[in-house]
Amino acid sequence: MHYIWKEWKENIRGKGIWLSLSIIVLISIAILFRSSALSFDKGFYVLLINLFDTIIYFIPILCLFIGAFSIFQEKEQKTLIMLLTKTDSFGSFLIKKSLGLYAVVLVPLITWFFIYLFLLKFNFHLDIKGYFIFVAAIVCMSLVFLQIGAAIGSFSRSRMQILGFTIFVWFYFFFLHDFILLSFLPDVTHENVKLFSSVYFLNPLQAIRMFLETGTGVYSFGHMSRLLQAFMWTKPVFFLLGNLLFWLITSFLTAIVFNRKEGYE
Amino acid sequence: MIKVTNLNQSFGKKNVLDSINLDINPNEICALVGRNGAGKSTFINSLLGLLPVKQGEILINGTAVNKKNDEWKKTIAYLPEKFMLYPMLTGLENITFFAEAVTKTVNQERIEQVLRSVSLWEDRDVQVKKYSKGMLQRLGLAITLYQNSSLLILDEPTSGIDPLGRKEILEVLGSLHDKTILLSSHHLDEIKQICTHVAYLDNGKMEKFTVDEFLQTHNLGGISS
Repeated sequence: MHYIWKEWKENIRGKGIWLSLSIIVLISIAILFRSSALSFDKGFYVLLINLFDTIIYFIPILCLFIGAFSIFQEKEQKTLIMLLTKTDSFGSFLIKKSLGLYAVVLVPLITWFFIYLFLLKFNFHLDIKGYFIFVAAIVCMSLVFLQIGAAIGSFSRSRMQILGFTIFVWFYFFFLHDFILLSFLPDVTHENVKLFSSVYFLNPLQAIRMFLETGTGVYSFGHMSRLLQAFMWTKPVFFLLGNLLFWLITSFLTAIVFNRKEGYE
Repeated sequence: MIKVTNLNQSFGKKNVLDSINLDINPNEICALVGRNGAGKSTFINSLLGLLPVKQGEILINGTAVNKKNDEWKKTIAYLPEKFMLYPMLTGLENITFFAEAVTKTVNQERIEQVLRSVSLWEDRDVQVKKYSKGMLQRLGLAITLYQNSSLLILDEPTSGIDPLGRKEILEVLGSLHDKTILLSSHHLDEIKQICTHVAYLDNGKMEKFTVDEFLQTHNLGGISS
């Protein structure tokens, strides 16, 4: 609990978290204004998808930076070494620190999207379940990228390295992952499509998008080809949970195994 | 208090610590001296268990330093060089966080006592980003003292601090008669002022002297800092 308290005080007095939140707030309001001409009944879903498609560019990179710099500063300010010389191991430190980061990022984000729901109420017919799925998708995306960011902060030895790794991870999930899979597409058959789908949904952005689009009913599973049916071999929520577990555990282990103790400029 | 026997540490082919032997007795204040890159940090990190001891043995209060047993950690408090703390938190919030994280208890009376001992009680509600280097180092020392450990390991506690700030820190260290202290330092005047012994590290080898022996052996008697 004291880590959450410390993380919270440190961040609310800094500029980073407010700058990140203000970007999300501005985007959400801009999308709301642009969507005001949409129909009262169906506009809600269009707005959610548009909003998701826009903030998907920002939340990953903001969370990567927040996670990475937060861990790196613990090394740079020598607070990490002070904590590790007593009872904490790096693993237990990382768990507490990650929980602190989750609280710092998710509480303002969820609070904003709760307020945003009231703004939407004046313009659209609300689907609370759909909105809950949207918020859950944002929460999952934040968790995954915060944890990957924490791993980057753990193995980086300078701020320049953090910049490089962060931009690479962001670029990889937005472009390279799909681009690499595209080259394998001609070889996908009914026999190996499960493997292909597993790798495809390892990209958190794809797993989250599929969860949101099917959850809000924008994308339907009716009238699928046999190949596509085999591709979607489990429910989108399980793809998302699998992805969440995979990246949280992988990032956590990477942070421990490749941790470099000292940071310097 | 500290007994190091045949400690070896190497990075690649470079032998940084070569069969180090050292005994530091209770209530000694021992300076760890050596040129830049001599291996002082490697030695300190070995004592703190941050570097695995592959060859040799380190005993702290009779308990071996290793990953399996954390008992020796209770005896040690460590102050890193250029300890910057959490700049957005106040001095009081910083020490409260470390008290909770490191010792699992927050004793407000003890916090007040250690903050007063380093003359920071009046500035306790000021954000640490507004502290001078000397104040930062004194707050770091207060956090170390709060742990009430019998062995203090201090990595260049007066590095980069103005003469007045150094004087204040040395006064605090000089008043700790019931502690065993190992401090790395480049300042001969502070070694003369507060230390009883010197552990000199050179080319991976370590020798222990009394302060007078060290000054005579190395012809440093006339140099003050």
